[in-house]
Amino acid sequence: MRIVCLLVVFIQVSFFGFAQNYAVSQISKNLLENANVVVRVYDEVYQVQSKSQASHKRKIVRTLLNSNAKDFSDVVVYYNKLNTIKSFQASMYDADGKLIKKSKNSDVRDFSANTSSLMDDSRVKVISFTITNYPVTIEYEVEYDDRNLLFYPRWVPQPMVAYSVENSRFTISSPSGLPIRYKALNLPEPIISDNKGNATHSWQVTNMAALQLEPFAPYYHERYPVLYTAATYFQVQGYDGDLSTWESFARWNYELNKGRLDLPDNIKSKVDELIAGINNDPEKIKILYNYLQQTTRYISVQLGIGGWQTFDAKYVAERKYGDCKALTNYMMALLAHANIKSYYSLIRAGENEEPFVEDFPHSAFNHVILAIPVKSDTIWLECTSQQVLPGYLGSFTGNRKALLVTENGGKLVNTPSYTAKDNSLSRSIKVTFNEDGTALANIQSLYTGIMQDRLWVMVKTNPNEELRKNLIERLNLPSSIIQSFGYETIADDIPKVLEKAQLQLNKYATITGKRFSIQLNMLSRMNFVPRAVANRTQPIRLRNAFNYTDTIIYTIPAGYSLESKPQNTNIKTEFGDYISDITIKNNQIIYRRTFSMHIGKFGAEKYTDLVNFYSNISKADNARVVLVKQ
Amino acid sequence: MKNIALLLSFFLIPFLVLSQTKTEKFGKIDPKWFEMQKYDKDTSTAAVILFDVGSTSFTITTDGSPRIRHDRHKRIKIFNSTGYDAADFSIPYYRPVNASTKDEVTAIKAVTYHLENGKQVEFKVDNKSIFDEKLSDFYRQKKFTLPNLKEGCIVEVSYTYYTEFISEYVPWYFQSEYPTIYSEYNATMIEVFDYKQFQRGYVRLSSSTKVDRRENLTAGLSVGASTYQWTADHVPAFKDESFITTREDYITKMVFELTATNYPNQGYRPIANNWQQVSKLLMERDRFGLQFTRSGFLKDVASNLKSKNTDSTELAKAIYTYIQDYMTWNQFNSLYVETTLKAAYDKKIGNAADINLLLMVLLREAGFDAKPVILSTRANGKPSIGAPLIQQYNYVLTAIKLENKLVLLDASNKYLAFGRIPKKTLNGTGYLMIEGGVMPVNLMSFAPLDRDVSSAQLTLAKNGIISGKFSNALDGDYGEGFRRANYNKKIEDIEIDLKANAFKDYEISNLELNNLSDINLTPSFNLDISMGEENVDIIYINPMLTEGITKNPFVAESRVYPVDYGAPFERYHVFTLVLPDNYKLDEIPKNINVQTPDRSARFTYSVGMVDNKIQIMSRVNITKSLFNTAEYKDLREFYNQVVAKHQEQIVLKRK
Repeated sequence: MRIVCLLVVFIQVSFFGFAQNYAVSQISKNLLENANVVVRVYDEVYQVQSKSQASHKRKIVRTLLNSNAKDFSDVVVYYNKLNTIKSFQASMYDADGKLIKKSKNSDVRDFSANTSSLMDDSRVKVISFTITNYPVTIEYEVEYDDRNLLFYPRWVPQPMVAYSVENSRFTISSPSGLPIRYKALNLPEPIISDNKGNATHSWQVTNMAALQLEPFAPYYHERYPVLYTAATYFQVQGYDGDLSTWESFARWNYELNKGRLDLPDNIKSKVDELIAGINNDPEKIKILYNYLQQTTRYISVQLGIGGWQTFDAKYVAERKYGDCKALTNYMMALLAHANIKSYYSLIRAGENEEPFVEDFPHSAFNHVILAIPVKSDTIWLECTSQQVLPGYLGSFTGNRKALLVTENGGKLVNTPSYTAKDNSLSRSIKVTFNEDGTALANIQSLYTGIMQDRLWVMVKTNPNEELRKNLIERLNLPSSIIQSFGYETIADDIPKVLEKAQLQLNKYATITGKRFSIQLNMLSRMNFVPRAVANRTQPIRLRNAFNYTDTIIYTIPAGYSLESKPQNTNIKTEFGDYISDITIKNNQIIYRRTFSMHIGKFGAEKYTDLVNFYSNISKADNARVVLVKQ
Repeated sequence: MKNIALLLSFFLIPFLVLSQTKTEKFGKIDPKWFEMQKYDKDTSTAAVILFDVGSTSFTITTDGSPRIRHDRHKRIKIFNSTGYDAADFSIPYYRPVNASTKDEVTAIKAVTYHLENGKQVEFKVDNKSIFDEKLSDFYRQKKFTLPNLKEGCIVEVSYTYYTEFISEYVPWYFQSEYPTIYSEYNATMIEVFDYKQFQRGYVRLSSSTKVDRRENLTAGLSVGASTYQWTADHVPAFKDESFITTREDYITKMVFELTATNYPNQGYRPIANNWQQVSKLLMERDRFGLQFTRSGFLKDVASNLKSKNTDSTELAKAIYTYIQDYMTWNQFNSLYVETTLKAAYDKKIGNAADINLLLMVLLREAGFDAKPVILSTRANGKPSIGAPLIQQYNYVLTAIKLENKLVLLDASNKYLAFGRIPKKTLNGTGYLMIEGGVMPVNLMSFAPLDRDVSSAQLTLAKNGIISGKFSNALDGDYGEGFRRANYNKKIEDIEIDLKANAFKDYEISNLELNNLSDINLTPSFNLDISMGEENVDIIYINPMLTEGITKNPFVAESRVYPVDYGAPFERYHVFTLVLPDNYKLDEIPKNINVQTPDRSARFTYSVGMVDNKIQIMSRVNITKSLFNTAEYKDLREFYNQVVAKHQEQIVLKRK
């Protein structure tokens, strides 16, 4: 399901030259601190010429201070059929700002940038420099002829940590009648000028010190400068659109994709056959979705406008494959033949995506799913997966906005969200030791909600041998043999996967002389403690809610008595809760552990508390119980 | 022509009879394959290759030059949707932007078959759905996928590939990620080109035959030809394992190298048949041997370094350091210089051959008898033994004799000490080029010992807190890794990282780093460490601290390929703890000695107590880098013992 299939323009964060001294000695001290890269000059100019064409120039000069910045020695620019490169060159300067090398045409290498599609026209040009001494300064200029004005550039002056900015500027201009739209976050006001009817907006930031890596940072655009720009009116390969509202953008999509629902007769009769005698819609949806999953697969072909326009239903009917657009459109056609209305819905798919900018209509989507209104509810279908359940979206498309495309335009709606309660992993383990510390363990683990997303697909698509390998890697035990294992997938509204395994654990207990000691937490030890950060600057953002429960019953050989057990732990914090509890009854040790994390935002000053929270959990999780032979 | 056809058919008949049951004509499918529910030799596979047949021969282009023609015919049974990717094809071919070659992929036929009501139904890939993608400035590829896949379907593909690269005779892979029921390669050679062939991998071939005949290449040009046929039945899917060099060393395949040409008007011209010839050939190559004498530009550098160093070892080191600092490696491994040594020197940038051969000629200028050693890197695969196939070699080092000992040098890696060679070069045998031939050099004997030596010297205070010094020295690969990871970092950040990772259960402070920048010395660090709680009656402490091996790296119960560590290694840890008079020792782990039958994996754990001082030493020693599959069980059990011992604790009680 890790499939993204609306083409998104790769945006890098360019210029005109005024002569400048690139000597490293010119960089002010505060920009060198904690930095690997200093952006000396960034000048990007986007000149809209008509609703279907723009000139796009970028000049970037970066000083690479040390070998950690090595990746920037390759200058990489993306392009495609609708966004072609008119010129591209790069130069390298030494620490004194003296020119060492200027690229020739023969230095530019050209590659396909297609990584996952059967075919698309995304390509990349690369100029590589070999760096002999740091610091070094690399300058490049690229100019595009852009004929895809569905996307205007996004400007992020400081896109990563250890990256400081001396001077960065973005300028956009457009003729009258084609007003540009923008949303500026954490940026100064633009300078607006008018040049013969061409309205020009320009933003500039200077002297931005490098950011440090701070775990659990907030979403980037909550704190740092980001500029979104977008067209009002645009045209791509002859298709006119209006981006000023979500509704008008949805209408463009509707017009682009309408009239593609005709099915060949054999498929029509197949649909009739499948739903004959069934008279409730949810059941019909299930049957037809199952038919889609059984008979089609995901294959992506994205050329030109084909990045946004679907192949028609006939194409899929003949080939039994398509990308997200084509498969969604095909599913729509199957449903339409069954008299069920459904809506093509644009979404930004992916785990841990930055929040959606709701108040600024722009082309922000990379995927298409299907929404079917049923009474007061909506059934969502992911049409590119042969495995997932109807109605369940998981971490890939759940919990976010989708743009419904309807005949009257469209609107933003919410997809289902999954809470801490829905996302859990509960384990129940029974361990019986023999005299030499080797144990038999019987493990049952129940994964629910987004915790089971990957496992569900894996269980459904992998041969046993692979599942066995994967299980032993995930369990991460010192030394063990799987005697038997199996999976059950449970098709509830929130899907569940039950994992059962019988293991032999070689010398899980450590026997030293008369003592017998066990690491109590067998499978869910916290091995992560966030790195301490001196002078944390950013607030804390916890993005995911989840919930772990472990119950382990250890049965130990006769003749041992308790010498030492760790204290029970009960930590309640605003970040999450942790309980570990040890009870000893006869020859049984019962270990219970619960750990849950909340979603939330906290002040920077709380960071030490968060580190301590994790550190205390790590300590409690690594505790051992010690028994002595009587 | 007729005669030849007759002759041909005469010789081919035995093959056809033999293989008739295993292959079928395009589109003609025995219904049993539709009925097939699973492959009984690998019941969980999602697809199986029913047959894969390749034939390679020579043709003459219209302008009279020879080219290789390769025909491929492959049929696959798909059991379930997981096997759908077996129906995705991409066939790369050479097509530089600014040159004309006749390399091409043509006559692609690709069909999906279903059985519907007892009848075979076909779905062809239409030409629109065969894409021609430009991969880079040199390569393009044909890409397509089969339509209408469903569980149980059969897909079939055939195509013809032409190449003008006579030296690149098409290799054949008997093995792929899906199991293959029958694989067959028919390789026709003509007497004009002499190829050496060799087989790689772990699957036994079923048959190997050769038939000689004459072949009319074009009107009036009749040449002697031989057709080899190799077949393999029931080839298992190729699966990766940990601790292997490169897939190419393990997968079952047949590869070829052009060793001579024999044009009628030119006679027999060996390209390289034995090491003498290879050596001669290399010495005559412009981008290799011919560079050696063009070192005049280094005269001044040599005499300058010579004037500063009188001792020959010191001089060699100074020359090594000079090239290592002066030159920057462009990340390419190569046996040949890029253009000339002079050009590389002027640019201060070069590939591995540029840098190491510059080192060699500078050493020669300074009076040393320096020579090149050629080899194949681990990722490039193991060269075949005995047959000198020069294309298999992709790297060159410099060798000198110092105090009667051979020293190998690689100046392309800035983190490497004098006399050390990088792990990637530790691959079987290298060849020292000497006058009129070569001398084999066992590269493994130059493997540095990867060594992790740590010591904890701790004292238990009366209040129950344990504190002291922890130090760790890292040699070989361990050291190079540590140096790379921390080279540009501030010491405060290194300490934070140590605290967040290895030392998360301890308090640490006062980190000191040694020899991080001096590559000829072993990098190390030491720090103050403390642990424990105040006033407890019983104290448990694992003497291994952060240095224990906590997990057996060999989780799989059995193994198909040998375990290849790359280099031997050693982990040595000493722990001392001084007790106060209010605590006494209650229990301590026992001594243990574990080794594999040939003693090449050894573990010693020894314990001692003198007065109030506990001393524990652990040494894990892997003295060879290659363990065969028969030794796997012992190696796995060896780790089980180490892991168990490294968990054991010392118990101290308050008096």
